[in-house]
Amino acid sequence: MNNHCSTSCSGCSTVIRSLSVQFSGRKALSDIDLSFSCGELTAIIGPNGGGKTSILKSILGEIPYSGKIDFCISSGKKKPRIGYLPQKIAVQKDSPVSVCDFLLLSEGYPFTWLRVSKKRREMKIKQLGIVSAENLIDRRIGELSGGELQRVLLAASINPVPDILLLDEPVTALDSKGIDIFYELICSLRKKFHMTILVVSHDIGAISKHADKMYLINEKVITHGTPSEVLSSRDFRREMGEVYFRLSGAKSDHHVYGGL
Amino acid sequence: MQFWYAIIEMLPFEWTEYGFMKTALLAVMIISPAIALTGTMVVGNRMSFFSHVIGHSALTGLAVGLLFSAADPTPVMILFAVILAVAINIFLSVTKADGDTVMGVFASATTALGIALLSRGGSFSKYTVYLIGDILSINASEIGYLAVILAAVILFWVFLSGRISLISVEPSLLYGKIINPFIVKTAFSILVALIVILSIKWVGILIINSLFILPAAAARIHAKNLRTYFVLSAFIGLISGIAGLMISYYTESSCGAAVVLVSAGIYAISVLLKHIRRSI
Repeated sequence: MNNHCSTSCSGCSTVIRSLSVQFSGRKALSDIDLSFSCGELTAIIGPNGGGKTSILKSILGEIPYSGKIDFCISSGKKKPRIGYLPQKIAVQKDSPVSVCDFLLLSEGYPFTWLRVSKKRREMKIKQLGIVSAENLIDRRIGELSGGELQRVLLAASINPVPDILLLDEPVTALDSKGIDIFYELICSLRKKFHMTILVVSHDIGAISKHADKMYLINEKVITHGTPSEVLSSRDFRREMGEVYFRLSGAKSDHHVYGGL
Repeated sequence: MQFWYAIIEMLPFEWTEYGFMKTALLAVMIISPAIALTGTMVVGNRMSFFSHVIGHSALTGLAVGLLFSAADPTPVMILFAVILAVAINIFLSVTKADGDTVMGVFASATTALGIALLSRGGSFSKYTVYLIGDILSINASEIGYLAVILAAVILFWVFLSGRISLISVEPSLLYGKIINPFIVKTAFSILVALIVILSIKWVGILIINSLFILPAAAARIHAKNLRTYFVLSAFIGLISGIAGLMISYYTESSCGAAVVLVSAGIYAISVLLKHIRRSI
């Protein structure tokens, strides 16, 4: 468990009870219960179309759902602050929004038609520093590469520091080295800010190294537990197929090279 | 107004003798940057077909407006356009249908309905002014309409341009924040509808959409950030407006068309410049 960096205060958790989501008559999620402790990184895995993203969108309030979502909020606020890194973001190639504009906009600053003050700009450069992307400050977001864009989006999603951070397939645009760097970054953020982090991912190998808890979802909660418990379970084998299982079996613990 | 006339008369041009030209110049200087600025977000949010629909629906609005009040159909036209704008947004959000196709349907249906209503008794020709528009027909008191537009655009810009820009990048980034993207987008649609209807008589149904699109399209090529995008677009709008009016005066052709041709020229040069810069 060396890679884990849980800082849970074991006192508060976000609890979801009997969550159901329907898309034009088809059930995406039916009656699932989940709970996420703060300071923990929870991974949500499962087959395509199994409703993983629907969980995040329900938490965001972007889609209608039935059931109950109770947030854990330490600071006594009414609504939790949610940071969100979307799965696909199709930025227009000719978009004139600069990285600096984007960061200002996403924290709700409405006056991008004014000259950006030096102080504000310095703050944004600092914010990009968290994801080692200071040099991107003046680039247009349409011109960024996939990895660059993902880092900028992550920088945006953690400012202001959220109570809950939702990451939907955050590493698809990264290579294997980039993936490790990315997750180490997430881990350090979690330590520093004590937030609840939810990651939806296909890359089971990478995520299982860093997650504290794992849910296998396919319309229902198939199984959950620590990554090693989930990956060695029969249910995992049935849902995700023989290939994943053999790999996870061969590598005993939770060092799985998934994402095939 | 007297102050404005006095300033213009100091210019060494022949056209400054004519009152209608002086009023038209002021009108163009108000309306073209306002439309161009709004256009930045029309283009950014891929809504060019939407402003096209609202423009064409003005025909139906006019027909309905004339049924209620022959003297001044404008209030009913505004109401009609606003209802249509909201309806399209609700329709898109409920059905999740492809925007492009839906707009196509709305555009053809409203245009056809407008033509059908207005051409009853074979009298469509009296409405051709709405198709082509005539900025020279504007009188001093009507400048007030345009001032309302400009004020609305500025007000909207101060508070909501940031939200709209964020939607143009990724709508879901607004969820979990305070303002719902649907509301922002609908508010913006209403603004577009207001602009279109209040200026249609002078700009023309066939041309209004170009005034939204072209300055923003050209500005987009050069802009390094949102601020330069807004400023450049409004500036290109202003320049095309003034140049278009002058050209139309000396060539005795439609002002709206000249304005569009100038901004199309600016767009073409922008594209060319970018390619040259790239290949160097």
